[in-house]
Amino acid sequence: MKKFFILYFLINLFLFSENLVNIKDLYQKSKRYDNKIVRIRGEAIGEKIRRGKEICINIKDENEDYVIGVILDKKMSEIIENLGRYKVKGDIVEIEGIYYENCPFHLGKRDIHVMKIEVVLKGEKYTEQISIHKVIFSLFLVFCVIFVIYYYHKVSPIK
Amino acid sequence: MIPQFSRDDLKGILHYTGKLIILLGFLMLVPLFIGLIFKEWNASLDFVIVSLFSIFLGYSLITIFTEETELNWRQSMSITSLIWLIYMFIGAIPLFLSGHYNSYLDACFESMSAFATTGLILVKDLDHMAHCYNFWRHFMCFIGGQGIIVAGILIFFKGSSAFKIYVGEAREEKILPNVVQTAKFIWLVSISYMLIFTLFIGIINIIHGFSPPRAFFHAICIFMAGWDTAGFAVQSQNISYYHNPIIEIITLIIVLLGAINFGLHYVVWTGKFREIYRDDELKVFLISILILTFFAFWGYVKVTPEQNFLSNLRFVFYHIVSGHTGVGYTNSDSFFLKNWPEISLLFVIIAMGLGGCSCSTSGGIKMLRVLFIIKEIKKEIKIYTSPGSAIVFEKFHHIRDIQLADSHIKTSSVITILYIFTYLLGGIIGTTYGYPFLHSLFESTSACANVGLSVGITGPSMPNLLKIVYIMEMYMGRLEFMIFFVFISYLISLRSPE
Repeated sequence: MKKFFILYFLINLFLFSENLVNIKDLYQKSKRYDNKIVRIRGEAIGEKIRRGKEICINIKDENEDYVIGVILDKKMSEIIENLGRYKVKGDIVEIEGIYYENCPFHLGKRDIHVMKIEVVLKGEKYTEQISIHKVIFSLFLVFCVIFVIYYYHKVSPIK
Repeated sequence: MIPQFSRDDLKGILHYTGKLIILLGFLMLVPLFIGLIFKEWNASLDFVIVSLFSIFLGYSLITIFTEETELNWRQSMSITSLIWLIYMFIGAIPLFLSGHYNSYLDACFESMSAFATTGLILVKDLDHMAHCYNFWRHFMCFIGGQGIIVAGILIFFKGSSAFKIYVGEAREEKILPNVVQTAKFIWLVSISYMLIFTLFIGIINIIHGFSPPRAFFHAICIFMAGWDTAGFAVQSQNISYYHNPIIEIITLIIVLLGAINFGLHYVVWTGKFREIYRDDELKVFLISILILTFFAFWGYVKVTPEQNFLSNLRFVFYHIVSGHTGVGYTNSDSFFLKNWPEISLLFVIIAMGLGGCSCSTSGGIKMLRVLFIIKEIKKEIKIYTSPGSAIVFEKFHHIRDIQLADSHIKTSSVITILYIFTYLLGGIIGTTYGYPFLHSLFESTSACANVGLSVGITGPSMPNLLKIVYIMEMYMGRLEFMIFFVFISYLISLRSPE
């Protein structure tokens, strides 16, 4: 039995872990990849969510709005330094792990249990350039508002 | 004959509309404050611009149209109809400026979805959105769910004007004798729950590794979208982002509280706890949730027998409650719903169509109307089975004992028929674009009943006409049709001098 499982594992590894799977494909062809080892690539976003001894990180497709949660242990998660959010481009990671359409360990959630993780592109923080046009337009509106309020309260005959 | 608008009517309408636009301008200071906290300077400037623009526009209107008289019915209905559209257009400006929407139409869609507490979204790359824009999306849900007019009543409307405009916003029940007191109570309850749940969810988030500012930011957004049964979320994965069953349970509690009649909240707050067990509307609501969960679950496990019982129940129950209360939160994704068996989807559609309790933040037909129809059927059966001389009547308990009257049935039936007709019409329109009828009906019902669950039709790439159809459905569904029809008839009367 044990040999059978090792064989099954190796076949999976051979068949499915060679090429990267698009996160969108994981959703669309979910049955095909269910309970199999997959390799995905995407941006780590949000936060490292603690779940007991595990960490859950959400990985977003680089080009589209498809996100999947991956479960990994704390030590593995330390490799990720930047998590994507406003003004932050998260680390781009490649993950190899077992994909579950209905995870038996996490009350049926769709997730990937990570076996291997690698940061392929470091994320970065952006600095904001304040738009001078917006500032000028705001000042113009401040003037308009002061004028109309003054007119309403002081000049307008009926209030 | 439809009474025509006079020049004075129009002056009064534009005057009060101006005041409500000023209110919107000041409300935009809240997301501006959030932007400053998170040091989002450019995004904050967008709120400065739109806030100032709203204040300028509002003041200009009240300066030009100075009439501040008692409102008549046609004015109050017109103000309500008009202000929801104006709020949509102005509320969409910061969203459009955020760069997360393909077009201004998409931003308007999201804005109406928020104000009408629907929860259907067209936003792109939500996970990288600035906090202040994201907060604005949720804050619009809060303003719309509480009622734009309910907010305005506290500041601008007094006496009979306040009552007329309160009724205009699809709230027939006065909780307290005075409408201003009713509005104050609605805000008191909401703010109290907001403080409790924000603190609670915030602490849970911190325990699970969120930084304190982000933890409380997520918490307040979850509360606002949940309590007002809107179903927006901070991240693109909605509630499934948290990977946390505790958050799912808390959101269920929040949405159930939000879907309960404010009148019932009031009697419970005043110490009459027994009313929870006695209120017939609440009983019908809870029984309906259980029955629909049972049938949806039955259909679901027939197709997926290999899956875990508890996890199946988790998803089915969550989606039925989400649909029935009108929140539209999901603990999964739209692909998940798309793959549901048709029979289970049908029961979710029924749950969405029925909606929550009357005088709550949810949409749809509403449980009080369903109760009236059930009671009337019961009464008819009694009439046929009783001797001819028997006097048959039906009573129900809703805050107090009430005898079922023909007026209850008449208004309930009209509104119910209008809802069902609109659900179907939207479904048929969706089908003309090539979507399967059941999916199309699902999306249409979700829009019109202000739910927000989706099987994947709603998205930035959907046809523009369908976006406009759903905007209209959300708008009319939120105002429960009649106010809108009355407004349209007044507008038509403007064109015909006879």
